Amino acid sequence: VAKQGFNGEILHFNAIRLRVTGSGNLQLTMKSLDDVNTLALANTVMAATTNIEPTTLTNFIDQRGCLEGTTTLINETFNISKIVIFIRPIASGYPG
Amino acid sequence: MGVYVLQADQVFTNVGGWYGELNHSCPLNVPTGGGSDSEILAGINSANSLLNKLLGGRTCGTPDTVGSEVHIRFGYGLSTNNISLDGNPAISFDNLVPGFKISSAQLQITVSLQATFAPTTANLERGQLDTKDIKANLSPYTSIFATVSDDWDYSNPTLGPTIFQVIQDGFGLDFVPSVTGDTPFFVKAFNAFVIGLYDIVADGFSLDTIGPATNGDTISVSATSGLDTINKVQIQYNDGTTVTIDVTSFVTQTPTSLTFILPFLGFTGTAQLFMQGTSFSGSVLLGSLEVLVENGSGIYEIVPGKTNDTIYVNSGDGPTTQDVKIPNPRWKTGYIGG
Repeated sequence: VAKQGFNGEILHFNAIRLRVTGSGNLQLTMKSLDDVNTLALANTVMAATTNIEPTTLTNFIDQRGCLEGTTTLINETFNISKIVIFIRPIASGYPG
Repeated sequence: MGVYVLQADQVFTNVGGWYGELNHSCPLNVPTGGGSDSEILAGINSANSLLNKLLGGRTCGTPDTVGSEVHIRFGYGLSTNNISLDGNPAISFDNLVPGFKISSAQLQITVSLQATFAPTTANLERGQLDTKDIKANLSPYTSIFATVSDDWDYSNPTLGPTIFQVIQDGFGLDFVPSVTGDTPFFVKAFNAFVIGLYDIVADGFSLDTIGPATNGDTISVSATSGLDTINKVQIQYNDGTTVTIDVTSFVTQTPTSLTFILPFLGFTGTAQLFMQGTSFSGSVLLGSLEVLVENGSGIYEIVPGKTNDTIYVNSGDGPTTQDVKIPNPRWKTGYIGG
């Protein structure tokens, strides 16, 4: 039976890639469940038009994780059409 | 009980008042436009008869009644050091203790007539300590140099002088020539002040609310006794704006506690609170309160492509709008892993 998804494995989040336009700086953060662990990534400088989808490296290890983006200054905008998150399982799980 | 002395620091209105230096019958150094408010205040407050003064009268050499009358009203700021208690350095109304009450008020001023020829009649100067329609005449002018005074008219208003009225009204001076003929003359006035007796009401009134307060806030006053006899609270702002809260608008009222809701005052800044009651005459100074006007509310409108919020704010020039950022817009992916 082919394995679908993950079952408690420890994951290594190693990069993210966005298709984003806008203005200002998009601030990216990796977060675990309940925000116990967080990792701020390099800001993505946004432009109204772009021909690239920049890859941002990360080094975040946790059982489950998500990516959060925000802007903090007036008149900053973002328009995201694609998010790719690169992960790899590196351990089978946490001991009980 | 003590003695207070109050000196003007504002010119409310000025019609025909000059500022300059007198040399016998002719004024010298009369500036165009009559002089600034600060110059006129310096003249009217000075005790030195030799320096420049507030002047009024006919122009020298061209006697005419045109422009010869002077109507000027002086007042007091709430935050300026303008009241001296028992000979001590002057302090501001903002710094007077709660319960400050006056029991008398008298305007004193020194005037001097300068004329080429002594007029046969000279009822030139009138003082006006309040705003009643019939002005109280100062003592008729009878000599070249005289100190005149005007007591507060206790019959009008019937409540007698109050510290609230003194601050609200200030005092006025009129120089109305009544001499016959065309004799050139000038009047100079200086060393003006209001003097009277004051008390500190012994019931220990205390303004418990610490500002800044906004309209709709509950304002609390406490005392050892006597608050059940209060029937009016008056709030005055620096620019003379006055709001009266009647006894019917009090929220709670006991001998030791009184609360009321601060109404919309239409100004932002420091205001003075006064109380009137039946257990004492006049009004009692309660203290100063920092007042803020709430920012106005509006209807939220969705505007496509707008990248900020617009809010109403109160500035010194009145309500205006200000663009602010949308509070940190954010997005979040779903959790990966399981």
